[in-house]
Amino acid sequence: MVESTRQRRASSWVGSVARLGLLPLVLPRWAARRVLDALVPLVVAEVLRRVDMTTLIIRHVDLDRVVAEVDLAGLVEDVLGAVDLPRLVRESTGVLVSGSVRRVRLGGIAADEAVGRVRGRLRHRPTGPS
Amino acid sequence: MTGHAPHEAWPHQGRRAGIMTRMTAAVLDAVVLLAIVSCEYGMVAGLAFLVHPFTFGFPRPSRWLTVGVALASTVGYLAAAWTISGRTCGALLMGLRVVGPAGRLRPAGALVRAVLCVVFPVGLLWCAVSARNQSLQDVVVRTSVVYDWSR
Repeated sequence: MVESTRQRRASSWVGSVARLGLLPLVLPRWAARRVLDALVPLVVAEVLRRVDMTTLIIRHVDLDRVVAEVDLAGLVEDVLGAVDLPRLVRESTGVLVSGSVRRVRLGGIAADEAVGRVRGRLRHRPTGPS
Repeated sequence: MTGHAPHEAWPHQGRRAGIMTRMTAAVLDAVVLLAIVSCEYGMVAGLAFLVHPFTFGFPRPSRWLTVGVALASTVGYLAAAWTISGRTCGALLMGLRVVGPAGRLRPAGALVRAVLCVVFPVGLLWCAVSARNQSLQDVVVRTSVVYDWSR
């Protein structure tokens, strides 16, 4: 008896919505997703702006337990493995050394050329009447 | 010869090196030789310590022996380096290579050149005068020192 009364009320509510022309407001799923994609970030941002997350976490989260759950040694090993630190050090020092050596060599060549120019000038110097 | 050289060095590769580069290489080699002779002295001292640990004293070689060992080490170092790769440590740093008329120096040629360099090191100064950038040793042994930045 009670159930039939509820069904009747619901059907009459849908009927009234239909009569009011509000059915287009019942969106299909893809449209609802779009609306939520646009709306949720805004709402969350506004909420976060009003809430001090740092204080909340400090007050309510057991950070020691979280850190204890993390495999720090494994994490560091993974990071070092991914970074390949020895290769980085090797390459950076190699670049430094090769840059310095190049400068020294080019400086030597320039000095050689300067000596060569002086020699050439002395050779082609016009000799005075003797 | 330009394989591993940066582009700014390409025009110089294979050209005869001048006095300044060669003098710099020679000074660097002198430092290397000083280290070699010091190591030799350290090895002799270590050996003496192993043989007579209780009566050990640092060896005091005569002046002639010191000079003789230093000269012999220099000849050995230069001849070996020129035979193996045509370049000593100093030449490697300055991007130089000693080449003979037919390319790499032969052991006999390298030895003669090394002896000449040790006996008459001032012959290097002839580079400054020579239009072909040749030292007196180069003229005698028919060698050239060229820029070569390849590895």
